[in-house]
Amino acid sequence: MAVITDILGSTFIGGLLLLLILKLNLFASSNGVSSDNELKLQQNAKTLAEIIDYDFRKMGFNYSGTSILAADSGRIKYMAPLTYSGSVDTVEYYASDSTKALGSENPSDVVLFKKINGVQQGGPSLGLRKIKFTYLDQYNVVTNVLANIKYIKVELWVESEIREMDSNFVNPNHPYLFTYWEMKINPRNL
Amino acid sequence: MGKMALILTLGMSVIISFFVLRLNSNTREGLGTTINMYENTQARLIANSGVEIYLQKMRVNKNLTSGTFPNNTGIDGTYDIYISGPDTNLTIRSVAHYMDVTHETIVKARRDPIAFPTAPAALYVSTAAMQNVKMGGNFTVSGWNHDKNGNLVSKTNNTVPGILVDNNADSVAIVDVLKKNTANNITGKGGGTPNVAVHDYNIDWAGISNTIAFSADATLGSGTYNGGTFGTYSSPQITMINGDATFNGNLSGSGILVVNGNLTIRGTFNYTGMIIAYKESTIQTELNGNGTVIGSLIVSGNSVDMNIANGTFSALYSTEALQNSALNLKSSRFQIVSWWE
Repeated sequence: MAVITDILGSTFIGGLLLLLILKLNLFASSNGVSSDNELKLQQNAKTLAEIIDYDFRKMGFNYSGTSILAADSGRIKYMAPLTYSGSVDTVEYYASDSTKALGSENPSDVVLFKKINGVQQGGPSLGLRKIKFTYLDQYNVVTNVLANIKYIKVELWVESEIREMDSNFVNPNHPYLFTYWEMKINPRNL
Repeated sequence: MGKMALILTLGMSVIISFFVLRLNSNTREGLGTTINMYENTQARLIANSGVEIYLQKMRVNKNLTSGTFPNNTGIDGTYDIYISGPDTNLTIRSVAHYMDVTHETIVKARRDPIAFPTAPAALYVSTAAMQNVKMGGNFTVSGWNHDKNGNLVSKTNNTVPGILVDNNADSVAIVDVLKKNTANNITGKGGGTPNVAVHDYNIDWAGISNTIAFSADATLGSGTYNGGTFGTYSSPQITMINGDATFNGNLSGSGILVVNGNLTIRGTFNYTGMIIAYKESTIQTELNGNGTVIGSLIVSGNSVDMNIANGTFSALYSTEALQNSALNLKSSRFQIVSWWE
């Protein structure tokens, strides 16, 4: 009888320990995914910021007229060469709707399209959910006059491309990590 | 039983270790992402600052139009500068290094021409009120066109008034004094002796002087100057004197001389180009001795106290001398043509 009790007791304790390990493993996996997601989100936001920063600073280089051709909160069109010795092209940036970003689980992300001389070049999504341009004059006052634009404020709303694992900390209706990036670019040639 | 406990403990330890390592690795990479953005920004700022620093150096050293200047330090990084000229088409390339990041900025610029003011007369007295006018001595003021050596070129072409004032009252005051001194010789555009014209051009001489002073090759304090050279005809310069200046002795110069204070010329003083003496209050001018100004002399102040007592002072208008200064003087202002970063 005592042996049976020992076996049952040890089985129970062993089962508990096994469950503990399984739970720990699940927790580790969940946190690992979340951590990976967060890192990816951070890297994506940075990459988007770098792309915009790199291209926008070329605005107006080797161009004598009004460099910005069109400017609204979701779209910008300007004159700039892509390389130092390259010809001056028409460059356009705008965000697509959410149906264009097919490579991610996130239903809300969009693609940041780039057009050069009217030809669409494709573009990254990188979890971009929304992009907003605000145009400022030399006194840092918002302006819609193209010739007066000296600064461009770019706001990026970026989300993770992979959904978070269910937990109490995740919105079940939209289980994606989120970050916001804002920068003000002063293209020197404007 | 003991073996089982050991296996379980080891298993849990392995899982926890992997978990911690993975989180650590992600944290490190996340930090690296942030730092990399910071490094890129910092490298860009260093490169841009390098350009600004060397533009400032070029403002001061007007002969700096080409050269390679590696390994400059600033903002915790280094930058190399490559400059190629000429002044009308400068390229300043700055390559910055910060941590492992390199950033290149290429700026095209040109040195603005000097804002050389128009000379409206051989001697232009710009003021609301002249006072204590004394014009004795054997002095000459001519608005006829002379060459750089003071030889007459033309009495009809490229001429200006001998003396120009802003209002009739000043003209009357000067003419009254001059009529009592038959030794003077005031000639210029339109004829008549003494040749004194009235026209208020509303020129902001203080503003012009400040603009010119920004490009000064030499900035001096008030005092008495008993000798020296303020530029030569082949290499004219902008000389700024902050305060009262007395030139007493053998001095020569060429270019633009700006005196922000009272002007006294004694001794032998030969200048080709333009002299602007201005003061926000009453300006006292004393033009004696054997001085010669070939070009134009401007005196401007709220009121002007003018004294030409003795000697053989000459102010001769010369388009040649003025054009030489306008062509050869370099400003300290740059126009940025393009900025690549």
